[in-house]
Amino acid sequence: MDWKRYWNELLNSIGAVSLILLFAQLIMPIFSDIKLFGNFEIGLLMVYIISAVFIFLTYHLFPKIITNFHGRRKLFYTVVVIELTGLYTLTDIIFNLINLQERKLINIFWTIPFLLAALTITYIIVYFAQNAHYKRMNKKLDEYKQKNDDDTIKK
Amino acid sequence: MIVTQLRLMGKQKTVTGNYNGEIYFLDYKNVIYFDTTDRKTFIYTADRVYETSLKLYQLEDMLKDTSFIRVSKSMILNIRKINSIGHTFSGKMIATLENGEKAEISRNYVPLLKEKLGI
Repeated sequence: MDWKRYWNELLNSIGAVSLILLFAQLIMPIFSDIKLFGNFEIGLLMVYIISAVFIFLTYHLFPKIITNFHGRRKLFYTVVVIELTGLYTLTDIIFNLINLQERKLINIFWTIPFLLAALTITYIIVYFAQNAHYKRMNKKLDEYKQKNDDDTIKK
Repeated sequence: MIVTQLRLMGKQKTVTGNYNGEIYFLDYKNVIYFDTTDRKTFIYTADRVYETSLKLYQLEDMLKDTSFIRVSKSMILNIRKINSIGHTFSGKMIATLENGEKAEISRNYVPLLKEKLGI
């Protein structure tokens, strides 16, 4: 089985779904504020459809942008997008819980602090993951040096 | 003209390098790394830097069954001379060598290193 291909496809799919949710969260307050579709539920549905179309077009019109991200880099950006979506959702839930009427506060201007937070969280995760990876690599390096202490040419 | 060659002396591999006009036979085990600068190939040991007329690809081919690996376009590194492997802030892989120098391991050659270490 071509695991690399499946892993890549999985990342693409997760990234696409997360992006749809993120864009929907971003433009939802704007749409609901101006009551473009009158009914909030229909507006919400429309926002998701527009986001999905936007993501679909992005993936198909600019394949180079997406396909240039491979492996860890793609994983990094996917995690950032998922975290951003999570942060938006969490803020939305908190604002609902405290009955804050100004829900339009969750708008596009929140993107910068949210993006910074998501990048920081992801970087911390990556930093610890990398440290663990290099610790293992150094252990393997020591093992290699011990094993090949007296290596001679096999030719 | 600098005469350099790689010889098989019995079971031990030696590389010849030029230092101040004199030719030295060097045990490959003492070599930390081979490096190319301005189309010239240099042999780095703990105390000296020798010059060789061999190209990196020739050295790479000759040393393929040893602890030497290509780590970038311009460097072949002796794994046994690596003290530790770490990373920079931007995520680049860096090897700290026995002589205190730091060598960058290109992303393209990381799979080679991992394969050699058995990861």
